[in-house]
Amino acid sequence: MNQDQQVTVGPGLQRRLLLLLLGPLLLLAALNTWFDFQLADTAAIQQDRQLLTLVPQLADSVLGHGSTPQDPPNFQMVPQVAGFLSGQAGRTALAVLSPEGKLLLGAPWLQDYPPNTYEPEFSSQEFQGVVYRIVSQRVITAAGELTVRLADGSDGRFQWNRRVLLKVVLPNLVLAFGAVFAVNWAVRRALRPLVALKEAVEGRSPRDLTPLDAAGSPEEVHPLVLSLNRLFALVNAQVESQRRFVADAAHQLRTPLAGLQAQVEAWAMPEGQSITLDAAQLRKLRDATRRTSQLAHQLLALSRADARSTVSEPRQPVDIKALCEEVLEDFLDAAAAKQIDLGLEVSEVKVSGYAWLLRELLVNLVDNAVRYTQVGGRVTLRCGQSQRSANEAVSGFLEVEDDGPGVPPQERVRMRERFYRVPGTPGEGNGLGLAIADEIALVHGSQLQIKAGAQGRGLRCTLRLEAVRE
Amino acid sequence: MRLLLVEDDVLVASGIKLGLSNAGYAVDWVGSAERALEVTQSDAFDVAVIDIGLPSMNGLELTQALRDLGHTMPVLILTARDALQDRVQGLDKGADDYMIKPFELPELLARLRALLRRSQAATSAVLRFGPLELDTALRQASIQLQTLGSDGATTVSKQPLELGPREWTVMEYLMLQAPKPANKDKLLQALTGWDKEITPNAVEVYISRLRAKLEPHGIALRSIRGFGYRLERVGAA
Repeated sequence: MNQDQQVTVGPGLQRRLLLLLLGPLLLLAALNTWFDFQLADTAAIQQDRQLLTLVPQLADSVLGHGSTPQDPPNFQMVPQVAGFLSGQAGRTALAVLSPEGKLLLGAPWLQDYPPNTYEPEFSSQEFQGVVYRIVSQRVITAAGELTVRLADGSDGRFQWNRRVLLKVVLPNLVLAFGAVFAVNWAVRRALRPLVALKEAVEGRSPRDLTPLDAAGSPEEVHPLVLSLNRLFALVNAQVESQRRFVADAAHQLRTPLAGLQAQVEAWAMPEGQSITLDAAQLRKLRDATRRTSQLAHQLLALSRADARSTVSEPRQPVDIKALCEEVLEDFLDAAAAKQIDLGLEVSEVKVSGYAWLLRELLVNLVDNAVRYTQVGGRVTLRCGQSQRSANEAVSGFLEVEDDGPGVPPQERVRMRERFYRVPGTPGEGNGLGLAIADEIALVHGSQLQIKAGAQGRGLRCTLRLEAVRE
Repeated sequence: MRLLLVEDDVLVASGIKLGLSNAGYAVDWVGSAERALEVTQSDAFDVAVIDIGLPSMNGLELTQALRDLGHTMPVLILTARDALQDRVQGLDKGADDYMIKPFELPELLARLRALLRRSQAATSAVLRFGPLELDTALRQASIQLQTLGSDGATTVSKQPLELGPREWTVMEYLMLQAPKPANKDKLLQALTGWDKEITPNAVEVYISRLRAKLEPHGIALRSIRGFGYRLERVGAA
């Protein structure tokens, strides 16, 4: 594997699981906090009301001026206020301020500016580590206008500032973080078989295509392992056939090349300035060269037809009548040389396919027919539409028929194999023509049918193709 | 015929040069596109054979450059790859034909003959096939006769060939197509200008008349079953 190759992938399962689980968890924690806040708020409102009821009582406790308006006033605590001050574990305080805000009476820390209006004002203030809820109001007392302040730090719920922090947010945060670790751990553990599978695939050498162990994989991963193994088997078969093909091709190329080399070497041997060759020798050389060239061309065609079956390029409508006419023209000279009657029996038809591959197929079939049919024989190219039964779709067909020596039925399967030549075949062929035609038929989702020709003579190769309507 | 061969592979080039020289072409061989542009400045060529895989400037670019410079000679492209893209590109850039390497020499010669014939047909009114000549401007057909004199020298003379108007139409069409076969349906279409109700049988009548007139001069009209007819020379390669 190339490590430099940066591939953009979706977020990992682990991260996805974490994020998906964390989202709802944090939302729950936030909700929880919000409810606690609401609760604290209602508690505060209740306490505020209680404090407010004490304000007129405190005002009533002021009986009159002190010696000057700046001195503490004449003050007689009513029982409710006294009760408030003595109760609540001492966490209460009060103050009476002059209109200017000077402390006249009570706890010095409660000194503050009087409120602007006559409405009661509530506030919270921390003193000596306790949060007090404080109510301030300007009131008219026997000693004139004063500001009274009452502070209550007794109720736990008053400590909401700190409480929210410590008892509401913190537990929720701890819970969330705990969940992160738990989820992380659980996800890691649950995904371990997948990671192991990934490592098993990643760590493989490209040549190792043995199946993965499917037995130990969990239920969900099992189909994936099976699919991978199926893929491995397919690739294996492909690689194997490629290896065989390359070996065969090299062997096949070696034969004519060896002949060529032997000839040329022999001619180059004598130590002289000039070499004389007779025409027959030269023609033999030419034939060997042509054969080598043709073999190279066929090997290329075969490998390209092979590649086509794995690369999906859309098929195009192909006018096979025009194709038959073109190929006929190419072989007119070869046919004329053997006085073969090369002809057409075609009608207009368009099929779905790859034009150059169908041409290659037809060239190979006609080449075989012209090559192996005796002098004075007859070769016919056919195409058209056919319908095998009334309820079947109309299909196109491409056919090459000759009245040559034919091929015995038991050889008709093997003759499609690459490099196979029917025993007793005259001339020099590569045994690739039909293999190429067969491969191209497969690419078109069809199969090459090989039968005897008319009256049981010769050979008839037919390819059914999907017709295109216009 | 003066032919420009642009090919950088020495073995391939010397083979082609030898073959073409033997076939009667005067071959000028250059190894690069730049040299080809130089020699075409001073000399005129009847036809060019250009390899695609040249160093620095490739054959397609050279063809384009030649066309841009106003050279109209037929260009045949040689390619080692038979990818469809190359063919289409080559023809788009102004090439007239292409051949895939390796090829057989007779095939190259046939393609060159066809190219030259086409380029001549475009510039002159005379169609030729073997000893047969069709002057389309004068609408006269003639046969070149080579007679061996008593002194051993050959003399060339022209003998007019009488063709009826429909025979002329058929003959002209066949010669325009040669060496490719002529489609019978197309022949029929060419003839309908003369006669609205012409039948395929009538075409055969004209063909057999033409055969009778041409066969004594070594020209055959071969029937291609299911397709049409082709002009062929009897006894010629």
